[in-house]
Parts: sequence; structure tokens; C-alpha cells
Amino acid sequence: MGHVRLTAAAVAKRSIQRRPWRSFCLIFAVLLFSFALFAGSVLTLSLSSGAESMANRLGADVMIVPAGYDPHIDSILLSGKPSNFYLPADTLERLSRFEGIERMSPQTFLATLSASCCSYPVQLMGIDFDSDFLVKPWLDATLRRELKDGELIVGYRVTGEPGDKIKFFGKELTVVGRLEQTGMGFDAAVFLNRPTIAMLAKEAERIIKHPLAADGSLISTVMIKLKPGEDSVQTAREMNSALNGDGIYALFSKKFVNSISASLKTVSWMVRGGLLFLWLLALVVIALLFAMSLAERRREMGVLRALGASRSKLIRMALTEAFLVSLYGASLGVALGAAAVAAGSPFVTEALRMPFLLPAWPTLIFLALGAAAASLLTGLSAALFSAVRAAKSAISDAMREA
Amino acid sequence: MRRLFSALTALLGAALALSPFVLFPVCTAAAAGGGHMKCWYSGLFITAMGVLVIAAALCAWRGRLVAPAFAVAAAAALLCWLVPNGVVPISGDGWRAGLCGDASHACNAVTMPAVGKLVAGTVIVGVLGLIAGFLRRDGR
Repeated sequence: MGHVRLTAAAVAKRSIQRRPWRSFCLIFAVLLFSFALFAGSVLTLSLSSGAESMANRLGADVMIVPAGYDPHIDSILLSGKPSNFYLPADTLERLSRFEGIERMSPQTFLATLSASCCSYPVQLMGIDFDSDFLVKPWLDATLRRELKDGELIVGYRVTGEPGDKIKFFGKELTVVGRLEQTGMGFDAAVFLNRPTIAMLAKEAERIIKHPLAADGSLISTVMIKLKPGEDSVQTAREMNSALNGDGIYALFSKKFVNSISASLKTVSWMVRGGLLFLWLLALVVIALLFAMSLAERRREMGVLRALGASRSKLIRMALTEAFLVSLYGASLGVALGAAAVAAGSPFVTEALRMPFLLPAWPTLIFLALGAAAASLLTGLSAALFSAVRAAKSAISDAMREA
Repeated sequence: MRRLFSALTALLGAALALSPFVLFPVCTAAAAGGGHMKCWYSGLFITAMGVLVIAAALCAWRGRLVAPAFAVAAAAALLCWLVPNGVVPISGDGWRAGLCGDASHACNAVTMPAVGKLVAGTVIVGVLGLIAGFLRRDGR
């Protein structure tokens, strides 16, 4: 028969294995807390990064869309859900009459067909390179020149590397750049110049009739930058009272960003509330199970004390048990949290209608380590009180009570 | 307990392996260019991962490398969800694993919902198996 040294770790491991159901409950409580802490932190951080990215990227003060199409622009900006809509032909001319506009840039949208199997339906966005002030600043990092006819830039989630050829409506186009991740619908969009998008619309007409094929000058939206000091809310209101009857609707960007910030606050509070509840639950469950376990082992503690084990050694043994159980639960919880984040992240924008941008790797690793450390500390602090109480009782009392 | 979790993992692995072409088939039509669709390659990947889950479950059943076996089974099952959804991209010369663009296609409407449930089941059983492995007395 092999001999086992009576170290704190060996006794703790034996004790964990001797009461599997109690140990299972302890591990599960820590696992649940670390899972929620990691996944919840990543969720709130990703949503706030997404909202920040959107506020930074959405450099326009006012967006002009066809009346009744403001939910469509929400979908395009948030999830890149493809949409086709066009403004009346004289929109730019009518907008130019308004004072306070510093720059305005038209964009033309064309959605690829969702019916063709396996070709992911994407939003094609035609940019006017002479007037653009939204997309060009990001392109400066990848492409330091104008987009030529037949060229395109892909969003972060669209397949294709520079030099690759991509077919839309049977026409082959060359990928010349890829945008960095934004957490918005732009990640699933493809950017071209407006002549190219008009040419694609003509190609699309082989399958379906398309208004853009007949008139290549059609525009879907106008992004407006106001002169410094101009009030975007007031300007949008003036535009709406003057143009709304003609099917033109002005949307001030801040309203969009503000509604996302308000939703973000609600989600953050819900996550924080849930985490606090789970933390208290884990703390109570671990403390209770440890108190019960150590009460059951008073005789064992008494024998160990009689054999010469010091009080500090008994505390060390109980804390080692709590440490091992918490470490295992915390590691599994963080691993499960990472799996849940990876599996669920593509669907968060769709489900919550908010931009979602995962933090960088170093931040994710820091969050994982932080969640594991917090869970470990919770387990240890919950067990500390019972451990000190059990070690303090007199040897004779412990033997007699047991 | 270990053997119960191993058997459950093996069953779920078998269901995963059979899902894309037998139980809940992916789209069967040919792609526009004449080759296979993206979901067909995803189906192949899911089948391969299902076989890996079964192998890991057998390993755990025999008491060899119990913790790594359950961890591998859970990770392989998770990949069955991540690869078709494009979170972990897998592609080669002229092919790419993924799903069809249309939500009403068989791979989106039938295969992936079933695979999702099997993946969740395998991951949960894998985690329970890992805990059971940790709580197992030495030598048993």
C-alpha cells in the first residue's frame, strides 16, 4: 500500500474527492459566476466599443433618406442588411438651398440578390469620391488613391483579399483593399464608386428590373456635414418641414447614436445586476457548503489537532481545498464564457440591434484573467470564515461534539 | 459517472457525424459554378468533428487521458458551430466552408438548428465529464 504525505494539498484533494456531490456543487457555483463575469464583461465592453466606433465613424451631422426609409438606414448602419431605396432626382439641388451646410456627399445603394444560394447577400455602397468625407478617411490607410471603375473595397466580414476577383451580377470586379473592423453594418458591405454601381445595376437588369439601370445618377442617401456652430437637430427639423412632403426625410445622426447609448446603458445595468446577483449567490452557496463540510469534519479536525497539526495548518488545508475547487470552477467558467462569446458574437447585433465590436486580444486575455482571479478570490473569501472558525475550536470540544 | 458521460458524448458525437448528410441533410443542389455549395464543405467538417468526438469519448471510456479527452470533445463540437458560421474561417483552393445566404435553405433552416442543439449538448456533457474526471478518486 502506497503512503501519502499529509501535506495540505494532499489532504485537500482527498477531501474534495471523498465528497463528490458537494465538490460538484462548489465547482458549479464558481463556474457559473466566472462564466457570467467573463461573458458579461466582454458583452458590455464590446457593445460600448461598438457604440464608440459608430459615433466616431458616423461623421455626418445629418443623413438624408427617402421618407419612411429611416428604419432601413438603421439596418444598413447596424447590421449591413441589404436594402434598395432611392431619393427623388432633384434632392441634391434642393438641399443646396439650405444655409449652414459645409459639405454633402451622395451615396448610392444596391443590394445583391439573396436568392442565389451561397452568395452572401451584401450591401453595395456607391461612393462619390469627389465629395465623400466619411469613407475616404478610412480608405487612406489601405488605398492611397481614388477607386477606379471596376474596383472595390470590402468590409471586414466580406470574403476577398486585395488582388482577388469577386463577381456581382455576373460582372467580375477587383478587390483593392479591405477595411478594418468597425462593429457596424459597414463590416458586411462592399464599397465601389458610383459609375461602377450604375454599371452593376444594368447587369442586374438581366434578372430583375432595376430603377438604377435606367437612371445611373440616382442616389440613396446624402450625408451632410454642417458648418461649425450649426445645430443639427434644428437643421434636420427645417429640412423636414420644407421637404417631407416630397418624400425626403432628414435624420440627425446624434439621435441615432443617442438611442444606441440609451439602449447600451440599459443592457449594462442589466448585466451588472445579474452579475451582482450571481456573485452573492456564489458567495452564499460556497460559504454554506464549506460551513456544512467543516462542521461534518469536526472530529477529523480534532484528530489532526491531537496529532500535532497547528491551527494555521488546518486553515491552510481548508483554504487549499477552496483554492483547488475555485481554480477548477473558474478555469472551466472562463473557457465556457469564451466559447459562448465566440459562438454568440455574430448574432448579438441582430438580437440587440446595437453595434458590437469585440475587444482586442490583450484586453480579452486581461478580462479572462481578471474574471478567473475574481472567482478565485470569491471562493477563498467565502471559505475563510468557516476555516478560521473550525480551526479555533478546542481539541476536546471538537472530539466530544463529533 | 465517467462512463455515463463518455457514452453520452459518444452518442452525441455519432449524431453530429450523421447530421449533415443523413439525419438533417444540408442543401443538395449544385452551386452556380457546378461545384459543391459552401454548406456541403461545412457538412464534411461537421462529420469529421463528430468522428473526433466519438474517438475522444472512447478514450475517456477507457479511462485514458480523461480530462483532455472531454476537453477535445467539447472543443471539436464547438468548432462544428464556429466554422459554418464563419467565426473560424476554413477555406482551400476553390472551396470554403460556410452556409448559404438564404435563411430558408436546408442548411440554415434544418441542419444548423439541429447541429446547434447537439453542439450545446456535447459541450455541457464535456464540461460535466471534466468535473467528474477531477472528482474521480485516484486509481479508480
